[in-house]
Amino acid sequence: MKYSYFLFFVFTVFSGVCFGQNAKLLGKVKSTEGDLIPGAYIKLTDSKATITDETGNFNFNSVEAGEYVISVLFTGYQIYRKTLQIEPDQKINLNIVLTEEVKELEEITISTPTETTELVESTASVSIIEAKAYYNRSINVQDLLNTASGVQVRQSGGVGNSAEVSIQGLSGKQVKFFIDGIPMDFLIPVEELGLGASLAMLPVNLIERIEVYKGTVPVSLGADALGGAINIITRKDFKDYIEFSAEHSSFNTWKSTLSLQKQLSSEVILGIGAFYTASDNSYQVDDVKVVNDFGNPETFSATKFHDRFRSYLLKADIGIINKPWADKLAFSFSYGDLYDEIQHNFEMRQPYGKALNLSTIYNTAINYEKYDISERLDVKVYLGYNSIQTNFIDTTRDIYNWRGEIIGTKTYGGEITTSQNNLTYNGNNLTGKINLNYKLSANTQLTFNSLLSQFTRTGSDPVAQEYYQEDYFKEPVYVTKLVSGLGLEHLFFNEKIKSLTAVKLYNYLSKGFVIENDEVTHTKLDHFQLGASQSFKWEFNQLLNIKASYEYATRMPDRIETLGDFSEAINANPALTPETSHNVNLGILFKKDKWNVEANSFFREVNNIIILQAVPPPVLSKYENLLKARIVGVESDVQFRPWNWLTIKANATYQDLRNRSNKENAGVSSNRYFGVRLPNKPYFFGNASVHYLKEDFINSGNLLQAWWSSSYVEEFYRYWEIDGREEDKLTIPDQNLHHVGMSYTCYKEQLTVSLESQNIFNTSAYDNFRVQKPGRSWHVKLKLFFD
Amino acid sequence: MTTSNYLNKILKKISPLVLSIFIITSLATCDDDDPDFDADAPIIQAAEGITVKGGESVTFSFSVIASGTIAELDVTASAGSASILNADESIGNTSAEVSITYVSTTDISGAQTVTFTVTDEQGKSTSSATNVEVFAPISYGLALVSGAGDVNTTFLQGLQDLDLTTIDNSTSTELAQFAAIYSDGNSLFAAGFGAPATLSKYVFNSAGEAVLDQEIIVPGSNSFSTVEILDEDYGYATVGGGISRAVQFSPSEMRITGEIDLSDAGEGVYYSDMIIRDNTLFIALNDFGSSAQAMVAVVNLEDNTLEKVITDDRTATLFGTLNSSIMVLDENDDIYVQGSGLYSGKTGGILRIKSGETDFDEDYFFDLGTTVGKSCFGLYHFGEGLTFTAVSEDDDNWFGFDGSNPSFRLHKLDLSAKTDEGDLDESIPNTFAASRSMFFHQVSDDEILFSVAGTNEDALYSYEINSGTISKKITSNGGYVSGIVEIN
Repeated sequence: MKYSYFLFFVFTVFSGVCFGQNAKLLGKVKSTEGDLIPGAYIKLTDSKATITDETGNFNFNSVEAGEYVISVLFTGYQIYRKTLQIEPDQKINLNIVLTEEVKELEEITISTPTETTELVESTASVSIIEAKAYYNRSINVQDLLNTASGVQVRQSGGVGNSAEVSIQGLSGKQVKFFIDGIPMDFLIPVEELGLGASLAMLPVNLIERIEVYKGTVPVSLGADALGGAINIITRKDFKDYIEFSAEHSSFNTWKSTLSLQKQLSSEVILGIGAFYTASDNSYQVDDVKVVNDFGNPETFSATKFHDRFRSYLLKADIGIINKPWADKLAFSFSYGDLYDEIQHNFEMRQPYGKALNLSTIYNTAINYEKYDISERLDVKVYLGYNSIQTNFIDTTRDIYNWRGEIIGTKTYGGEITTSQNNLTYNGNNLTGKINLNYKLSANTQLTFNSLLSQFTRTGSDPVAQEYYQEDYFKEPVYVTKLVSGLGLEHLFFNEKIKSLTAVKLYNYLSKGFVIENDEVTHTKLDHFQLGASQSFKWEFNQLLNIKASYEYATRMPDRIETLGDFSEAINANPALTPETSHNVNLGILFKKDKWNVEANSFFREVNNIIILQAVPPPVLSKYENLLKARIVGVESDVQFRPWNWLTIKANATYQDLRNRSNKENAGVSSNRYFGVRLPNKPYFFGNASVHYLKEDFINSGNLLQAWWSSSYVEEFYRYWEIDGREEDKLTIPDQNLHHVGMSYTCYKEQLTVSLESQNIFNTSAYDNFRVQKPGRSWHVKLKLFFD
Repeated sequence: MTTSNYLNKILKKISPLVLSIFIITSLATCDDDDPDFDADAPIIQAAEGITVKGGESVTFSFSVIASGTIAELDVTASAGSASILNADESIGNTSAEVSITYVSTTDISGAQTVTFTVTDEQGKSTSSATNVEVFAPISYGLALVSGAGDVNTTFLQGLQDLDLTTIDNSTSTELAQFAAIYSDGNSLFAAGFGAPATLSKYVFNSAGEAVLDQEIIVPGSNSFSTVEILDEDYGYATVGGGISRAVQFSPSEMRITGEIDLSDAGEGVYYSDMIIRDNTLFIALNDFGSSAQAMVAVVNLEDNTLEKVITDDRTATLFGTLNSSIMVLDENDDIYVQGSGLYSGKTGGILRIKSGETDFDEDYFFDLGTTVGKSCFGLYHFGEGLTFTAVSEDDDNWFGFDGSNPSFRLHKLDLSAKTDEGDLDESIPNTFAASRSMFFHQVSDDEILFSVAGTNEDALYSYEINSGTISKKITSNGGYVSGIVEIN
């Protein structure tokens, strides 16, 4: 491959950076009971920090001589500080013992250091959402994402219903999701069932944190993300524990999770996670229509009757640690199942009574990690085999009304499709990922990441075969992706400025088929694209940080966009070109003891946006490169913690999305839409929350927490703002939802009971036109935690 | 201190303040009766609910009772003019029904005020105003499709006349989906694309804005696929999406009044156009070429039953869209049906069902593939020798995926001679016929309007029947014109 030469060139050039002879500092972090503490944050200077590995070891290879104050932080333990005098070429081995802190739960409500601190101190424009702070709450991943500034989640209903996430104005496929650094669509059925159902397979109590990358996407994630990325880090506590949570809420919703970590010996660790989620989603929707004998609609309020969602997953990890040849070698597998009824079409005008999706997933993976090979090189390797089976069932000919009654029968076709379907897809994905981190000097390190995946999908649909006289779904589809990146991180000006230069290369090979005149034609496509980024962080002083970044980002046309998908009546378009974007971010963070303010501005110049040009079936629609857009926005996040018992947070985002297409790129005959705000996109939104904490409530050691949170989205137009009468335009109205709750933790912090009401004022809310979100819901949650 | 003591103390402290507020409030709100009211002045009972169409007049009355005799009458209008018809009869009486004629002009719309003043012999006067709702004299309903990228929809507006050079959508009503429009002569009907099939009736308010009046919905169906409105009492519509049915409805009452079972016409077929002749409904069936033949369902409207499906293998795929026509009736009552030949391997062509017959005429076939040499879309007929179609210059862009290169040219055909009369006019730009807009609509004895959705301009063009002159009539600055209908 031609870009391999380029990689070699870049590597060679940057390898020329000099490094000198320095001291070495290493050590081990333990608890007072002698347990090793992996994941502890070790800070030597403001720009030199690391975390302990699985065996509790840490290592600074190239430390210049001088006096340092080493700080060690870990959740639940008191901060360790010690002054060190380091001589040239000295090798210091520390044995650090952390003392457990009494008030562990209090710290849970604030950001945990370690990896989080590392990310915050990186050059990336990133928001970190610590899930631990929400373990007591009845909240899902979408709700968590919505709390971050610049992030907007649009949902179409209740548990498992469709969702779309935007980061600083870019959304849909332009935002990539990852689970522990692996593209999420490899692991759960994002492509087949959508983001909403997939995120429902990730309960908050099994998540450690969510990283939201808003500008440049790290080399280590290895994906063609145009508008940012979201990396969901699953829970990996480093000490033995078991946690169980169960929640019951309105609309017959049940959620339970189990999380367990056990160190079986000094070299073997075991982790188990499981969840079960089920909901009837039987909330009331207003202004739906039933038709009388004369065909005239009568409007009333109905309860959703065919929107049940059920999902469960079992995950196990067993790891070998502390071996000379590996710091960690972990084997993991997971098995999950999903059942998702489809209640209505996308505008909520046509109810369905039988259509549903099923999915079964099976993932196996091997993770290998070895740090400080030759004292300079860290190696991480991932090998995974993932299997996703989905089943779309649309076989009934019955016609339902919003009362759940059968009011007629079709002569042919299903509720949704013309052919009727009992479509099974089997998708298998083989993934390999390697991440190398090489310390060129005390101030310079090189990161190389490469992710290779091979996807194969076959299918069958005996029901549709009867209609088409041919089972077109049995034709296989292959996609091979190779995403590689090389990043050079360097510290300048007395380590006040950190720079990260990165290049990325994307290669995409897909083989599939198109159907024309009832004939199957096999197709093959090969795309190559180059991306680059440069980001800086300037540590002006202890209080003030400034970050700036630029990325020439790319999103390759995906399988459906290029090859089409017969099950979705989409034709191939081999001529599609990648979406590209110039992403610029500039941010400032001012941090004091009791409060901090973060403000970011962002700019996006997006070209060749891929849009589905829909035509009435059975004519096949097609994806086209249409529209250019410019996004300019600002976001701000404020946190205030005047006392330990009170935390106040607020954020707001204003983003101006404007069309920059001339008529040729917009599919119209004039330039009247040039410069006009893009329709159907929120442009002003924000969140606020107040969290109260009372220690030793009723009994010593017991904890009372109460919270209020609110979200707001300004009304926006569904269609272009310059068209039609102002007073008559269709809008997605203002949304202002309030949630309140409280929890009580007792019995040595082992039992937590919480009560929460979401949308307590029962406000009507619509993220998408006509599709109503649930009204007020009540949630009771029980959490048991033993360590 | 007990709670009651505490409350008493508070009450004592605030009582002077409460008392002050009470006094001030009482003084401020305790007005005298209306000082201008005179119980002896004439009493007027005004008429209500008066409406008139712009440019027309309306007569209504005021009832007057005076304690003395009526001495003087006067009337004024906020716009337009008003006059008293029976002033002489009313003056000198103690009571009267005074007739007023309000005359509007075509440029007046909305709520106008007519003020009537009576003065009695004692010089005491009373005035009374009444509202007259002046309805803009809408003569045409017009649909534009506006938007860019994948966000576009239909906008409805009323026009008083067609003496315009440009139009936009600034006074239009935004619909939630793309829709084709129809008329029963009185109101505008929009058949939206999207499940369930919904036919919406719009009326125009006094400001000339289209307002939703009533809907007919066929649950379970994907969309109305064809609509034919005969008059204000009878209309027929077929639905797509597995419901093999046509419905009969009353446009004036917006009620489904009957159903026609079309299941014997076959599964998986689309209804692409229909036409009514005598008491028979002919429905073009589109199977996207799978049978490699043209198919038309013949329905007896006397008992709303499917009589038969007629087929002809000389052409196939009767392809039409919601707002286009592929079936026409000529002056001899012969029906012509256009087959595209798409997806079938068959040539495009026009078949005929002769007057009085319900089968294809074996002696007639207009081979468009051979004669025109390219595939054709749409068929419109306005008298002998005056038939139009759109000819595809690039079948790969039939559905307009390449938005920079419209590929249809408008041609004139002669159905009798089976000849292609060539390009309608070279000055007319290429148009996106099948994917955006295709219609020809006769608006007067001598004028046919047709839509062009082009790369650089969307416009309504005019064809003068007598002279054959073609000219651009109205340029749209708000999207392409997808339909125009007459409204009374």
